[in-house]
Amino acid sequence: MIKLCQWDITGECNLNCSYCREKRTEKLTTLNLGQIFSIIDQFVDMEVRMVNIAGGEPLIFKELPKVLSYLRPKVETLGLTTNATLVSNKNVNIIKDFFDGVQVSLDGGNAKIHDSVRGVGTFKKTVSAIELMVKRGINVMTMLTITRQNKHDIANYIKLASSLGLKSAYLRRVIPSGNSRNTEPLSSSELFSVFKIAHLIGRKLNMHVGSADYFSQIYFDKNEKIKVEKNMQDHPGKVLSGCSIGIDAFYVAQNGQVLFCPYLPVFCGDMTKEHLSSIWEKSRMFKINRNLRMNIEGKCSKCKYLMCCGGCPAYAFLTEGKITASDAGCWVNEQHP
Amino acid sequence: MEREKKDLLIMTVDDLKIGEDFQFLTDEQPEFLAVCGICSNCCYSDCIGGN
Repeated sequence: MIKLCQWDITGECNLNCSYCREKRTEKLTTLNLGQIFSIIDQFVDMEVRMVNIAGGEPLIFKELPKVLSYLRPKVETLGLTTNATLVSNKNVNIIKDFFDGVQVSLDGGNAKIHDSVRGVGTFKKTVSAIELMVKRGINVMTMLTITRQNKHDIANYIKLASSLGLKSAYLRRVIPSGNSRNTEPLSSSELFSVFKIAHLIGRKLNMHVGSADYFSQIYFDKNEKIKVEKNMQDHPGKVLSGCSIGIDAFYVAQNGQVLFCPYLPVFCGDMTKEHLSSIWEKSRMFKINRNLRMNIEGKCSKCKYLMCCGGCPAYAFLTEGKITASDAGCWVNEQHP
Repeated sequence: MEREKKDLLIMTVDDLKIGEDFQFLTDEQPEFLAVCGICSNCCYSDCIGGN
């Protein structure tokens, strides 16, 4: 059984965001329906429980309703990651009928900041779409990618999510790949300040603030910290959580290739040529990640949360040039005022 | 709109230049025992490494 697959159903997108990870040399191939159904059948064979449809922009993909009709009965949970600019009265029912939850990218608390990242006019469209989906009872959450453009607008982002009637707002740092490959990553101090503000405002507004940067959850979320420390106590020496690729998750690109992750596209296999079960068993990259925690160097290796966090291997490679490097964005073992 | 981009190539494991000192201590797949706040609250995060 595998817990989660993130599937970029298409590489095509109607936007070109300043930090987008999708910057590749080759033309982006999208599979035909037969190939897509074959991939879904492999999910069934491997008992994949949750699939998150992402892209590119999934709503641009014309065959999406057919794909969803085939996929929906075969998985427990189906999620959508979208910029929401293409959500309309015409397709909102498809979203409601097929998806358990929708993650919408929202990169600021106002049009000026959001549009500077994602393009002119996108804020208005995205906010209108969130309003429409909330009105239709769709479970919506927002995700802000922290960049230099929006790092000072985090409080407004949380406030906006709250005012839109959402219960959760998420944020994560930009990973320096694709369009943001040559930008200087935010320092651990800068990230600390951003997450601190987010959690303070979240508590004030009774909003759940979450992050894919797990160390921030351990640091700022008291309940998470208690849970993690109990787990470590109960299961000493075991890898408990953190980067789960090759452990209980995997990523499929729009051409059917299984890559290590959206940010670190190391080839693990090709589902149009090899069954997922074989990729899962044989991929050297998956084996590396299953053993990575025991090989991490530097501050992460000494961190008491190593077995439940371990940082982001993609971030480590892209910033330090080594997948075994410590996560330079983490502040947990640093002093902060 | 299909985009043609310049930078990010599909990589191989060799590109990671994993040292010979990398230890493969287990061939088994660890079983995650903990589910963090990300997945217990969201499940649809763009980051599949977060849980």
